[in-house]
Amino acid sequence: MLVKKNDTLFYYNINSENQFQKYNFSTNQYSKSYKICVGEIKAFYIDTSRIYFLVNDTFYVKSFDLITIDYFIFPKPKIKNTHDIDFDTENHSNLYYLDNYFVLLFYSVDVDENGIEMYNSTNKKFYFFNKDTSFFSGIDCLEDNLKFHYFRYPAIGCDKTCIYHANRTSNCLMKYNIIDSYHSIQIDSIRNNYLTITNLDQFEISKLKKYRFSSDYNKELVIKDSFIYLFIEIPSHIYFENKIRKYDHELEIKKYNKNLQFISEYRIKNKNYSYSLILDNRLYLFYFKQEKAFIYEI
Amino acid sequence: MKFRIVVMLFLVLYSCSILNNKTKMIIYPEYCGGCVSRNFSEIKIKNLQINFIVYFDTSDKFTLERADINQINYKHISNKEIANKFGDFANIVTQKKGSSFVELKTNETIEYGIHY
Repeated sequence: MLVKKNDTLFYYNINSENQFQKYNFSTNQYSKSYKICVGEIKAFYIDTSRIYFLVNDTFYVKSFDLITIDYFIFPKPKIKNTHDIDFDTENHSNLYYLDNYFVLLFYSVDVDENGIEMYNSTNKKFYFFNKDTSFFSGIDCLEDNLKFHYFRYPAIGCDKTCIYHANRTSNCLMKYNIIDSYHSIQIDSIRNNYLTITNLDQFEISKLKKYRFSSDYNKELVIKDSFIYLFIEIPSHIYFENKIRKYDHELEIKKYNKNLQFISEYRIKNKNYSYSLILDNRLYLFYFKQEKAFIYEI
Repeated sequence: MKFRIVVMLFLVLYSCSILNNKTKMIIYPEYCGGCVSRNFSEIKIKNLQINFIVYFDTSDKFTLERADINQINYKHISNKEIANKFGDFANIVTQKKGSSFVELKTNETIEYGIHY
């Protein structure tokens, strides 16, 4: 995550080696810790001073100095089907904090009469837990309940009172809170270039690849102050080069208030970035591979 | 001397014909990691190495590691070359001699008669 502290920008993350990484943009200082744990981190969340993570069925809270502040046994959910904690395909954190609960997304797998395992996105549920209690809750947009979604992890944002989410390939943005009240809107009522795929398509990567790049894709949801920003990857040009299908994409950013009322939208040609940050009406897109940052007025 | 040359020629031609009869297996980076592991294991367990020439971009550490673990013989081909030479696909495809490409679905493992 990117955090601004006393006019200095910091980047914090946990890498695949379970090391806590820090980067100070002012001094160019980079550091990575020793392994903060042994085992696969299933979920993590970093706020401005603490790291929260789940490993080996234990939930830890650590300071940035890696001192353990708290830990407890993770209350595992009881699900009949094969299931797991969903991970964010864009490599962001996959744990949220809402009304004194930590929130995770679970998916489950159905087995058909032939013994074939099929991921069923309509079984996705938010799992709320803390030291004392745990429960499933959550609701999807009506159209999402009727549609199959292969691309699993939704674009999610959480502001400690509500979760805002849009499935990757859905035309619906939803606001949801713990007492099951919700509100949803259509993201694009005119163009609606979101894909429709069937359950069986989930086994054909070529087909999914074509779908993924030729239709709109909800990439990220950012909450900043009183606004929600939905980042959508949009195919702007599809062409063939040596009989290979090629795609050019743009990024569309839709701005809403917290009642999900549309305010404005922006189109930018650059769609490749590692992390985004919105500060003082500016959008910063950091592209670590190219060691570049792109700055836009929004 | 003439006999030696004939024998060597025979051996060269024989090994070329074996190579040509092998099924090509091409791994493309937009794959499912589990599919690659599962199919490489299948080759090792059923001792099918003799049937395949496996192509992938060896800069892909995951595939390279899986290939080594499963004692797979492979040939390097860059990802760009894969697209130009074999077409626009993802995951794993196989091609028997004289046949067209067959793309493996993510829930499929190589089967005799279908993929080789």
